[in-house]
Amino acid sequence: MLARVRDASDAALVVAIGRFHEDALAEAYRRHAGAVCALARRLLGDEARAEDVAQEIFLRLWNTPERFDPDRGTLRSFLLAQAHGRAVDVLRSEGSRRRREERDARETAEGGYDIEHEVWDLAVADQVKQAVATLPEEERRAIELAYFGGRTYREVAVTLGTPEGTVKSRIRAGLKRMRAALDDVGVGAAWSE
Amino acid sequence: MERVTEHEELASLLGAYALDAVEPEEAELVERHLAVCPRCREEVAQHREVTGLLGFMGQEAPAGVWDRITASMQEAPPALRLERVGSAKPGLAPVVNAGATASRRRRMLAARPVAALAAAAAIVVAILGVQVARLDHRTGVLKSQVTALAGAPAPTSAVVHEALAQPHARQVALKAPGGSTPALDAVILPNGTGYIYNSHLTPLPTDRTYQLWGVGPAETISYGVLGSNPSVVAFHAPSDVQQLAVTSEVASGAVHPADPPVAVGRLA
Repeated sequence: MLARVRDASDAALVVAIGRFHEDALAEAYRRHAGAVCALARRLLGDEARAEDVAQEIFLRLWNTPERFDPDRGTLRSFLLAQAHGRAVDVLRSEGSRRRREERDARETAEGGYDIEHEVWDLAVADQVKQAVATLPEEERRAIELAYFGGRTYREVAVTLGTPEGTVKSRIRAGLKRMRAALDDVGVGAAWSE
Repeated sequence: MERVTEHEELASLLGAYALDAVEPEEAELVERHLAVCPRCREEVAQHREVTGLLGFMGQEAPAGVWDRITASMQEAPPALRLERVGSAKPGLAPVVNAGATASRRRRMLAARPVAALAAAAAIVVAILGVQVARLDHRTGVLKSQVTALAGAPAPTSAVVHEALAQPHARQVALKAPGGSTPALDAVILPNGTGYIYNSHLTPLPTDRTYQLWGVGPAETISYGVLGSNPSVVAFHAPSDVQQLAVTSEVASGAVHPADPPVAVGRLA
């Protein structure tokens, strides 16, 4: 089937996973588990729970690879979206009020919600950092609190003391602005299939 | 006119939705809309691509987790596949060389008899749940079914995770009256298959059991006994169920709930 898993495209890997090729899953894991864990760790604050999320996400990929549609986006963003959703579920579930408090304490210790440098620095690609830099402060902050803090837009509204509708539209506008900025520098090429 | 406003209202949620930053009821609204609106689907996909780029490239994949994944693959039964979300592109589904894959699956199942047993057991538990609901006037039958349930291995948590991933899965948090944190959670799929999980219920003495009830518009029916210390249990719910409730009963279960419930949850 796959001559060399290392050379295979993500889409080809997923097809192979659908045919129960464990080496294809191993390659997908090698490529993307680091990012999945790092995002989960960012939201949940500890390595063990982050690894639990990674385990679930890759098992999901093994059990239902058909959920990935290469026309909809990259495998990386698919796995990160799954990991983010799962981490948010964990964060909001019973018994994790403590984790949310830890998250708030962590963010406060890191200088309030002014953790722009740490959080955005993790987006390694320069073009992505440039795109983030195009955002007005309030859009960047809303996205950061929601995405990296695992908060609902209502909770972000409370944190910022801003109306809910404003937070919603800032998130949406910020994401659109970043997409446009990334298109400008050619990063969006993957979308135009 | 009104349709445009409604659409705009929903569209205003798309950014937050893509960041998992909406309430469960809002997520459900958005998902229903996405099922019928390609433009909004495209917008959400683009938002997710953007956030995908924000992650964290270049980290090493952690070592120990892979072993846990392969170990879990031994447990998770490939034969038990819940309702599939249709892929947008039919061509993506691999054209299976039926012979080769079937023999690979047979080899895998032969090597992991536990997997097939767990799959069969999960189905048995689900069917038993239905039987209890239908035969709730006959406690003698209930008792023998409880015995059968007790011997059946529980559905795996992988099955529950998969159910939770389904876009139209309905999630319910069951809380004690006056309580703020859930005592247990449940998920119900569109086909009626349900699972309780995340149970924090206090273990009962072995002569008692927890029992799950479904409250519909016309009646309350039993969805089965959960055991004295439930972890993950399958059940079946009809489509018009409005609330779930858990009571504590004698070990053979009850035909009607005797005491007020220990936990109740309303379906969104």
